[in-house]
Amino acid sequence: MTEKIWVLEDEPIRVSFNTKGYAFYKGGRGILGSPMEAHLRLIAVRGRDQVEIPGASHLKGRVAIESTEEALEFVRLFTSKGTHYLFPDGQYIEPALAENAPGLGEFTKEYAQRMKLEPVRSRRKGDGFEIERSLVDRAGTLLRATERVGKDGDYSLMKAVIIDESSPVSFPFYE
Amino acid sequence: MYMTKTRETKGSGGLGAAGKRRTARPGAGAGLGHSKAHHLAGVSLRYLAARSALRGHGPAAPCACAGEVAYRSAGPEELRVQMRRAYSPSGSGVALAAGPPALRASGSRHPADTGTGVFMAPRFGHDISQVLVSPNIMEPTQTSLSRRLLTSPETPAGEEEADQYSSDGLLASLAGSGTCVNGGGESVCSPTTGKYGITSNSNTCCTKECTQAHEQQHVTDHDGWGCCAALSAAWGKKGADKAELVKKYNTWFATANLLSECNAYTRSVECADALATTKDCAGTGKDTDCCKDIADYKLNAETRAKSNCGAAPKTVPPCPSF
Repeated sequence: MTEKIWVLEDEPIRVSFNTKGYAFYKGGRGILGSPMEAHLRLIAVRGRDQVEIPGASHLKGRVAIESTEEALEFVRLFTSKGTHYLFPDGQYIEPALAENAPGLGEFTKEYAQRMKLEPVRSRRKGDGFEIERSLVDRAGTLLRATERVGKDGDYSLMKAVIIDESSPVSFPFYE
Repeated sequence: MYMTKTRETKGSGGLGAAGKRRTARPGAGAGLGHSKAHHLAGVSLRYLAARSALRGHGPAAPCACAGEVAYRSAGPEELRVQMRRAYSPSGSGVALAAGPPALRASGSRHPADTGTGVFMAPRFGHDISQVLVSPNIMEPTQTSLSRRLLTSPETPAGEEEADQYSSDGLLASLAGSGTCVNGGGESVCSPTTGKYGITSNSNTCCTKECTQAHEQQHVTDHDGWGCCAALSAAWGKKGADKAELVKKYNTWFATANLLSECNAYTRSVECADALATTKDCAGTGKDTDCCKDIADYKLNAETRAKSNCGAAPKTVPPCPSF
């Protein structure tokens, strides 16, 4: 009985791509404890239909991606510092350039130059979109990833090249 | 569907890399108490590969890996990449962390042996029988690597992490990789007892006590606020709509716990500062693994404190009417 899905209705996750009538919320199952990040999941809600989305593959067919910007927004849903924890399948976050002293998930400009980090690239390719960007895993390994996003939300990580096995980027953790 | 090709290591280093200690964190809920096997996979596979090396397996075979992973031909510089199974959003993938540079391969590849696959598959949450490993991943002299780590002059007596060796004398645990695991802690309300309690502390680093202090702060806050007890009182009533109670409690918790996290992460920072003083991290302890863990821990806690305190209400909201 307690395993019924609940959603935090005042915490919608807004996206600009077409979600085919689904609204995204933070939610989960069971009693929420600390850290909340361990319990929260992305819940797609349409009417009485509530679907837990543990990873990118579960959005296939539930979204329509129509531009390179939307494709980038789509992959960032799973890899941004603010939402990555909603997806237990996720292993990476997209690191960002720090404005000041680097915080979690950030690197300095000097580091970017030293490692010759390339900017994010997003383009149409075939019947979908291809994105090249940096990702960092939980062990701090920095990768240059090539990802494909289909127009129906089909996602695949095509290639990942290790740029720095021991980057200074700190993956957030919660307790 | 999830084709992942890995090809080369460009080399590490760079700003901040040198001297930075990497505290291992469980994946997919890292620090969240979930799916530890995913994160531990890398170390485990290193052991598996070493085991296989001694068994002298046959020639390379194409990696099936449910059609998700393909590797280039093996070369000494590429082994670590081969061992890195990249993201599979289906949930079937495992991320294989890289080994120390000394643990590079030579020779051909082959799938993990059947026994190994059967043993490790449930731990990885994935059939690894077709994950390629090298028969020569560890040269005999390399088995001493973990021992060198243990006896590193920068590791003060008493700080060594417990290593475990297989019967072959090979590294068999995460500990020997030079990392500890900060799996974080967890605490939650028990609706049957009405007590908010710590359910886990999976931090094996020297910051473990700070994780404990963090969770204890949650206990103090939530027991003090009384909403867990109120939930419990309603929970025990005949005919209680428990799903509705959970929803009400969680909605309240999502806001109230920001304040508790503000308190708890602030306490984490204080604990890290105190620990750094105890360990003399500004002096003789500066380059020790423990001090690096403390610095990592503090950076995370400071950031989390800032975000939670910024989002938290000034006072705790009243308990929901159950």
